[in-house]
Amino acid sequence: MREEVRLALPATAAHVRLARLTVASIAAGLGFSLDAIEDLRIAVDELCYLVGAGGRDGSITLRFDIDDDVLVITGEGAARAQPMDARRLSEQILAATVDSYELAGTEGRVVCRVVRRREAT
Amino acid sequence: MGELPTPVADFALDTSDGTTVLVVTGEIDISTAPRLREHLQQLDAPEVVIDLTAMTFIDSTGLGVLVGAVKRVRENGGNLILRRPSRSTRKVLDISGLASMVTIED
Repeated sequence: MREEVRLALPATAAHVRLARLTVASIAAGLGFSLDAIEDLRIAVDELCYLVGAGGRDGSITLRFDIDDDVLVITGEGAARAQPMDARRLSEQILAATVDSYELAGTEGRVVCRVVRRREAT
Repeated sequence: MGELPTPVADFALDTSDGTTVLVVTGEIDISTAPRLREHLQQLDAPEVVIDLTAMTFIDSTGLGVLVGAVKRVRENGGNLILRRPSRSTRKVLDISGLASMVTIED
């Protein structure tokens, strides 16, 4: 089964928790463990930050690609100046909370993609 | 228009037992971290306890605020204690290195 959920959010700080609520709902539906759901809430929050959440305007888009035992989240937004230490910490957190992540930027846009597989039960 | 109406974080100061305790409730993210910073900056006790029992989420921006608080308290010769972090909070404290900079009470 493959399904796709798309979410478009204002890039303002207050809306990031909608992304956390969405990923928690999707991951729970897929049967992810509570620890994995917590990891995904943290990961999607950092993903949002890396693609520009927290600015004054603009928007970010999130796409959740859902398969039987894997969740792929792709976020995209306008590049925003962020302190290097903060970006580094966000990436450290991503690395520890998902199976893999990719971050790429081009022409003022940033795309971040994370993959998390459901543990075998 | 714009802001979500429901507050997702709350802060309360408790000095009833002679110790300065900041009780944090809810979620600390890029939206609420500035309020955490404001509350921490108002504390001038040498030893500060941040009670995380009811804190359900923290991200890198919240961790950044805590790092700033640790540095400030240490510069004044004090100590910062994080009380009862959740398992997921403990995980990001470890990832960030903050766990090694503070006292953690389970």
